[in-house]
Formats: sequence, C-alpha cells, structure tokens
Amino acid sequence: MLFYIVIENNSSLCFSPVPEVDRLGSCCTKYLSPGLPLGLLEKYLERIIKHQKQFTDVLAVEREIKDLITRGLKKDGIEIPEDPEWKNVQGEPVVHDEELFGEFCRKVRGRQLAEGEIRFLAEELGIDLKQVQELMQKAVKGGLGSWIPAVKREESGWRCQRCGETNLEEWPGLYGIVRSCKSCASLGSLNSLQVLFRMGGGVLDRDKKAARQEPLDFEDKNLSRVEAWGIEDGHSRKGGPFRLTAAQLKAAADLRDYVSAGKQRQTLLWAACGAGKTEVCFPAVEYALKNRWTVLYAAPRQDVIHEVVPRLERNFPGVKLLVLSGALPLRFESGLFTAATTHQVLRFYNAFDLIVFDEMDAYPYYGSKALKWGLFQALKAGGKIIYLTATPTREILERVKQGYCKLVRLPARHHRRPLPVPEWHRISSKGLACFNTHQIKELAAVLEELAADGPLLLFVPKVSLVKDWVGVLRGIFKDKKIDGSWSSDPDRRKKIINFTRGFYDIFVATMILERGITVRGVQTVVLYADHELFDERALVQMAGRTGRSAEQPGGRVLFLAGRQTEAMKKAVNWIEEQNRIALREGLIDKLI
Amino acid sequence: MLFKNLWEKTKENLELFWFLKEENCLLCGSHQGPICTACQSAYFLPDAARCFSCGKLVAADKEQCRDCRDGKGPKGLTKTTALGHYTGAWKEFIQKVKFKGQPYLLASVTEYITAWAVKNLPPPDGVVPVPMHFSRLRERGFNQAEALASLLSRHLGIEYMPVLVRIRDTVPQAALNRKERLQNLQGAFQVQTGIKLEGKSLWLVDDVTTTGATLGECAGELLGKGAVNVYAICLAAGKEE
Repeated sequence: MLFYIVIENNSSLCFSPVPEVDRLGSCCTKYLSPGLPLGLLEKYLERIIKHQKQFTDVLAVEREIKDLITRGLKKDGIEIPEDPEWKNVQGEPVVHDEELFGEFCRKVRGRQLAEGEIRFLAEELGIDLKQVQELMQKAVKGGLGSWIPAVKREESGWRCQRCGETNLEEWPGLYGIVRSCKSCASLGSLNSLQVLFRMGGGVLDRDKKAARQEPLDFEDKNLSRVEAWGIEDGHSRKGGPFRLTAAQLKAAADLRDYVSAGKQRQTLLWAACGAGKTEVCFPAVEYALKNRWTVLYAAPRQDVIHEVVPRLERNFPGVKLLVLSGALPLRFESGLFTAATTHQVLRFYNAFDLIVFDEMDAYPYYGSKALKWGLFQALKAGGKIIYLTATPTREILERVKQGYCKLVRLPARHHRRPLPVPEWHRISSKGLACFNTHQIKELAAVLEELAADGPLLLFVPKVSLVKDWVGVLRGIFKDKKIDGSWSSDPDRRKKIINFTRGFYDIFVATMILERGITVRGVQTVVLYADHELFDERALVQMAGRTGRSAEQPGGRVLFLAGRQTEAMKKAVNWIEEQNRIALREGLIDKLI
Repeated sequence: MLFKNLWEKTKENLELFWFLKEENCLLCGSHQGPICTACQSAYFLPDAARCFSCGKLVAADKEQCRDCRDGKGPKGLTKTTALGHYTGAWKEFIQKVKFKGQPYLLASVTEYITAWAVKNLPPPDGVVPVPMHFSRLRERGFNQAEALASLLSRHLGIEYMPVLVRIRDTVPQAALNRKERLQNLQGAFQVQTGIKLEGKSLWLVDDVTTTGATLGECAGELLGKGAVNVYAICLAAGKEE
C-alpha cells in the first residue's frame, strides 16, 4: 500500500493511503505525488513530522518536504520516473455512514491487520478494498487507530512489528533493500514495504454503557463469590456450571484475588497433572467478564483450544466466545471473550485485560521468541496474565523467585489421592536398544506384573522405536492387543480414541501422548528414561498419565533405564513435593 | 555488543551448516527440501513434453498444443518451455512470490529452473525479463520476472539485459480471454531507445504463461531490434488435457 504526505487546511500534516478522506469539508487539502511506502516516507520526513505537525508558513513546508523526499530518493538510488509534486485532492470529500463505521470499529477493536487481511474484512463488511482503507484512515484521524510499517527500523535495528523478529530476509527491490519476516509468515508474509493497521483495544464507551445495562446470562447472584463455585463431591452439576473441589477452590480464590487486586503482572498456576487447572481459572475469568474486561484464553496448540471451547461456553453462557485457530477461517469480530492459539494472538494489539495462558511450556510456544512477543503485545498496559502448567520452565520459576511473578499451587487431584511417584527400575538402555534377549526377558516380567493392574502405556524417545517395540512386544505377549502411534501417523487420532476406550492392552507412543490424555487404570512405563530428550518436564507429564480418573486413582509409573539422570531425579522430586504440599494443606489423605 | 553480534552470526552460520540439507519442502512441508521428489514429479512433470510455441505441458509424444497447431499461438518465439504445471502448491508458491511480497523464495528454486533451462534451451547472449508497468511496480516494489531473470543470469553467468519497457498499463491478462489478451497487449512493450540487438540470441523470462500472448508480443519487439532467436522460459504454464 502506498502512502502520501497530506497537508490539511494549510496547517497540519499527516500520512494517508487515501488522501480523499483527509479532505475536511471545503478546506484545501494537498498531497505529494507519487505515493511511497510508509517506511520510506517516515524515514525521509522524520524530522518535519516530529517538529512541525502544526505550522503557519505552508509554502515553506511544502518546499521543504518536496526537497527532503527528492534528496532522500536520490541518496538511496531509488529511480522513480515521476518527480515529486504537490497536487490538490480532487472530488467530493468522502462521507461515511456512521453505522458502517461503528460496525468496522467493533470488528477490528484490539486487532492489528496486515495489508493482505484487509480483503477479508472488506468481504465481511460487504464493501470494497478502497472503502475499508477509507474507514481505516478515518479511524486513524480520529485517534482510534494507527498505521505502522510492518517491518520497521528501530534504534537497535530492523524488527517485524507483528512478531518482534529481528532476523529478517533481505532482498533488493525498487525501493532499495526490502526486509521480509519469515517467523510469522504462516499468518501471511510481512515486509518493510507493507503496513500494519492497529486499532485501539479499549471497549468503546458507548458499548461499555450498553454492556453494563445488559446483564450477562451467567451473572447469577449465587455465583458472585468464589465459594459458590464449589460443592462437596467435586462433580459438575448436570447442565450447570462446573463445581470446584476443595483443592481447586483454594487455588481459584488465590487466582481471583490476584486478578482483582494483585500487584504483579503475571501469575503462575503450578498444578499437578490431572488436577483440573483450566476450571480453577473460572472464578477469575468470571470476575474479569463481570467487570467488562476483555479476556483471552490462549494455548500453543489447536487441539487444546478446540477441547477447551465447549467447557468455556458451558460455564459462561450468554457470553459470545470468539475462537481463532489455524484450522478456522479468519473472522473479524470482537467481544469480551476470545479463545485463540498463540499464533493467532499475533493478530491482536493492546487488546486484552486478562490472558489465561494454558500449557505455557508446550511446543511451539516454548522457545519461540515471536510468540512470546505476541502475547505481551496483545496484553493491554496494566493487563494481567495467568500461566497454567504442570511443568513450569526454569525461566518462569526464576521469575517467581525474583518476585516478578506470583505463584499459586494446585498440588492435588480431585480424588484426594497422591500423584503416583515414578519408580526407577534399573535395566540397561543399551541392552534394550539392541533388543538383548536377556534384557527383553527381564522387561517382559516387569510388564507382565504391571499389566495385571490395567492397560500399559509405554513411552519411547524416537519414532522408529515405536514400530520396533510394537513388534517385540507382539512377539512376547501373543494374546494381548498391542499397537503404537507417533506424531505423523495417519491413524493417530483413531488409535488414540481406541486406546482411551480400552481397546488396547499395551500402547507404545512417542511424546505425543505426553499431554492431555486420560485412560482409566493406565500404568505408565518410560523406556530409555535416561534418554536426553526426556527432560524433567517431559517425565512429569508422562508420569501424570497414571491415576487420573476417580474410579481408578492409583497405579504405577516406571522409569526404565540403566542410570538415573538428573532429569529423572528432578521429576521424582517435583512429584513428591506436590504430594507433600497437598498433604500439608489437607488436600490428600495420605502420601501413599 | 560486538562479541554478542559475532556469536549470533556464528550460531546462525552453524545452523545453516547443520541444517542446510534438512530444509523442508517448500510445497508440501515434508522433510526433503527445497522441493521433495514427490512434489517434483507432481508439479514439474519431467516426462511430459512442452508445446514449443507456447510452453504448455502436453502429452509426451506431442510437440505442439492444439491451439498452436491451429495457428492461435504466439508468433516469433523460437522455442518456449515452462518448468512446471501452474496448479496446486506450485501455483500457490508462485502467488506467494508475486502477490504476497516474498520474491526471496525464488532463490530456493533456482537450481530447478536453471537445470531445466540449460537442458531445454541453447545458450543465449543475454536474459531479458518481461517488464512490468511502472504503476504496478511502484505498488508491488519488485518485478518477479526481473528477480527470476537476474537469478538465471547470476547462476549461469549470462548477461542480464533488462532492455524491454512496458509503455502502457494493461488490464491483468488473467481476467481476459485469448482474443482479448492479444488485443490488450498490442503496443504495450518497447525496446529501450538506443539499444541494438543485432545477431543476438536471447532468453525471455516470465513467471507464468498461459496463452503465450505476452511472450509473443515481447519477442516481436526484440526481433524488431535485430535479435535472431528469442527463447522463452517460465516457472509455470497450463496443461493440455
């Protein structure tokens, strides 16, 4: 999109892609032709824009601007056949339908739009591209929105303004070297010739008033206190909102207090695997929604979002929930409540008062600078983040230690039984790797014993080992149903559903099953537990598959390895610590 | 600061060194890049023939497509060839390059296009990109045909000759039928004044060809200035069913 420098009313300057919009009534409006990428205009006119937004000697300013642009283009070796020239904006000023403008504002509130996304918005509004640009410029002029070069030079160097990436692809173009961002290209590539349109995220006053008059459906007096979320047995009432157990209630109250009055910007909910951490946030979310805060529920993976959406809808009836994931078409709507994958969060700017961020330690968020940048960019100044995880990263624990992040713990599952502590069974990984007969026999005896208590879930560190072990185990246990799966297995979904339904006696998998799966009575075995891929967080997640259901809250977890690594020790420590805290707080009855 | 920069650079280069061969396929994302063998056979159809007049993919035993046999094809080109079929993921890739501001992606397919050109066309004196009108160039910031031509020129050590200019802004060809396309382009191109091409053999480069009308119009101008042979090479063309 090309931009023009516009002089309005002989007295002020602005940048605009559609100078017609900047024409005020019958006042004289001039623009300098030809148009240029916004980044270049900003670069050439930085000084004048900073100091001379308002002026009196219009001729002098016109001359200076023309001169600056001509010199700038020459210096950068940019050859454009047209010489810069001031022109009067022709035609009638654009008059907007206020209702349309209102609808536009509602749709893009708190968003940042790339040029390529404007056409989707145009389709939704039923108008053409140029008209959307006009609405955008009107918003910019009214102080509601802003244009920024999508990839921009900052003091420390060039940076993608959507995801914060600084490692950019450079290529030569008409306007000199262009920088493209590859980090967030899955949302549509951005480069330094393009712009982002950002719209303020504050709830418009008019809407706020309307919202206060219309109560939300779930605003039931009985639920105004955190305690009201709890009942004795921990089961959700049919059709009604979820009820929290004693363990959850305590953590929920802490979270809500933090959201309503806490000083820190971030808080970490460190929950035991299978303790129901999502629901623990509900009272805090409820508090936020009642106060008409904008709330985002974010997670790194699509399947987590799709799984959590029905639970959010059930518990907050009447609140429109906007869902964004790579699997759904791009939609422009805005409301109080949004659920999105962390990639989609990059489409927001200064939009949310509260972000609940599930599985903060999971791929692809963990280790991605871009997604982290996006999360903080989507948070309003003064907004708050709740991180949920069973296995916090070293980085966030460090922040807790330094006092930047508050810690809330949820150490017990709802059935009041401790988390199974992994047992280390010494069996040489080397022997296992070469399928040494002696070792296999030893393993078979161990597995036989475990299998008496329920289906076995075996974790291996590599895809190739899944097939190997399925073969070996089928050879040993001829009467058992055995299969396995890995991330790129085409039958993965079907097999996992079958496993959760109790179809298999033994199931071999890579770390794909490390999170989110519940199988009644399952016994967990980690083969090659000393493998470098298995860090303490992966081990805790894998161990967390056992003993989740109320019907069979017990079970065993075995780490099979020739040596005990630091990660294995740490995983055991973490789990034991959770159990100790739970016992101390009266959330479980005994340690074993 | 300097040390940190140096370290970052070293890390980057090391990553390049280790992962160079592990790049994913640009078209399907599988673990074999830049374009995996499955995608190569699906989109480049190395066994199909190309219509020598317009570059369209035709059955292996044919030399020309039906339209060109009926005399409706472009005139003036000695031979035209296209690397792949303009469909599916290959089409999406070209559209990313063209409409989504990612011309740098072309660098990853240079090996395929240069190999195809060398195999199918005789060596020229220069490569000539199909030009873009300035009003469109200004919006887009680059011309994908120029990017492709300069890559070919650099990789093969052939002179880069951006000698053509588009003097009339035309309606995009994609919106028109065969007859309209030919009319739309009449007089749209010109060889820059003062350029002489006597006795030259040239490669004319564009991203996509459908009817070959643009290539034919450009070839006419080049021949008019004395070129003896104009060969055309494109990333993609249509396919005759």
